[in-house]
Amino acid sequence: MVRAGAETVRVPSVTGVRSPLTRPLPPPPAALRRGPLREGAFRSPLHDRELTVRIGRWLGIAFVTCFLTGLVSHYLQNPPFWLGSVPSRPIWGYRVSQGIHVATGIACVPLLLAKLWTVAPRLWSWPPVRSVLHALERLSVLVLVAAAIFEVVSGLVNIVQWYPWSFFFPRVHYYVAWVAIGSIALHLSVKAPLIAETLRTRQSPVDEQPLPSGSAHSDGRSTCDGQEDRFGRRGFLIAVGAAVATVTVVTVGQTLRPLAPLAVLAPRKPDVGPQGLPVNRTAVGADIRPVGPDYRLVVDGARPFSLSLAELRALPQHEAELPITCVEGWSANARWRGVRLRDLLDRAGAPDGASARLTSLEKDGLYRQSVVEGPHAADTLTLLALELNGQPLDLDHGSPVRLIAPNRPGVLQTKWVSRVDVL
Amino acid sequence: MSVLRYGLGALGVAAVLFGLRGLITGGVATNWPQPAIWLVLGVLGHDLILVPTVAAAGGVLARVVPCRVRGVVHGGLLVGAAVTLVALPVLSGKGDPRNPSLTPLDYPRNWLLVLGGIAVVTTVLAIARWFGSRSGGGQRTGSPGPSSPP
Repeated sequence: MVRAGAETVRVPSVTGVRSPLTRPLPPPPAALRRGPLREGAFRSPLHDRELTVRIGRWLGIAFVTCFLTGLVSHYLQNPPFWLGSVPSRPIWGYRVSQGIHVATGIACVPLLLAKLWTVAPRLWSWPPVRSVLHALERLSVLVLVAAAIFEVVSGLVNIVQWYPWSFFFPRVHYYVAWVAIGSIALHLSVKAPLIAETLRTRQSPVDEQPLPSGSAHSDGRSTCDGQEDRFGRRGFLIAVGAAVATVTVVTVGQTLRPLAPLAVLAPRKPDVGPQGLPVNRTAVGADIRPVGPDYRLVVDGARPFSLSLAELRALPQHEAELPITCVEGWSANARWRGVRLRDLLDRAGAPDGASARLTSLEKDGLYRQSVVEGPHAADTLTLLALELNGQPLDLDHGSPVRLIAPNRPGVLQTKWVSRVDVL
Repeated sequence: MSVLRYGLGALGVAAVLFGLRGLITGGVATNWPQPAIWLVLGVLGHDLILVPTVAAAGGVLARVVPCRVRGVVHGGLLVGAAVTLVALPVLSGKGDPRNPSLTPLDYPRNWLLVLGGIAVVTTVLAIARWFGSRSGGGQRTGSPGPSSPP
């Protein structure tokens, strides 16, 4: 990123005449070159191309990881027509995928800032625009930086359910992710020769080469040139690694149970909540009151029927140990007990492999209904649960009846179920 | 190689356009002027607030902290700043107050404890550096001579 864009992007020119894209534009008046635009305005030895490549590599891996796990989550919640049914196993599939998504996103906070720091002077390069192609490249970098910051910040804010904006977070997070990953691909394509050159010529082992004479630090200011303990590239890499490790350790216990005691800055504790389990949407938040004796679970299919709570309890009960896995990145195992969904579907005369739509007592809300596709509906672990950890379900956990299925986002584990429709 | 390179670039442009189209045609769900504002705010916040703050802090530290321990001190501050940024949402007190399982911890206390831990580790490392580099000075100094400027 240190080199000029016009040097890094070569447009094939048949005639040898410069194409209009790369023709130099007149520079702006030199009098405007003030403040951060001054030559030598950035003195840190960390504005360094090799650091950019090294940290960029880690950041790139992190963003691709976030993108892929994000796609998993998006498609589970919005199944596209070409995908078919998602398997119900492994049980921990979504738990691992979404846990990685949020943990990697948190790790991106120091990684992204470190990466941007190594290229900070590029924002103030002079002249600001050298050619049309250079302008396009700078625009693409602007889009990349904006999308990357947006994804990390909006995700971080979402995990505490703080929505300081008026758009639907999952949708916007999804589309901006495409902008981010696309501009990363474009950026790699543009910078490929420079990255290759940097890797070819890198100093090994990294760091602690004295700065060349006449460089930023030799101006008589307090300097540590040539001294081993200045904050050089090696120290910077170690510190960034330590920052990634620290932010991970203090948060990842919200899904990685053995580290739960260390999750002192995580928005969730996997054992804090009613019946020792966190809650995403409370009964109060969903405007749900305890049901009376007139509650019926309606099952509609070829042979429709309805059940009172006592009749539900009289049916064969089954146990399953399944995690609740929230899109917000926390997860926790629990012991559930209730009626198998497939038993109800069989009784309603549903064909093998049928899907079902579950409807909640909620009057509105985006997750009032959810579809249980064939593989999940047929899975013997998929329950309409009446009990959690040996006690009747708490109202916040979906009393009287909730869905619990393996490998499924928490927002689709419909609570306060009142209706099952065979599809 | 260049087929791969230009192919990657073309795919990237296609992905960007797909994302932008989704934002613009998303109706009330995406409400595109809103994300547009937040996208711009993120860049401005980074380039005009965060980076100048870090640069200014670095300038002050360069005058105050002895060379010998500067690397360790900068590193400790970097880690502390990263933890603080990550903790801002839980420290903000935002979220749903009706949900006691959301942000259930004493975050200001925990944040200070984590910062304290970082400070302790940084101090220990700085002390080790201070005395270590006094006795074994110059061991790790890089080879002298000009290196190619970046």
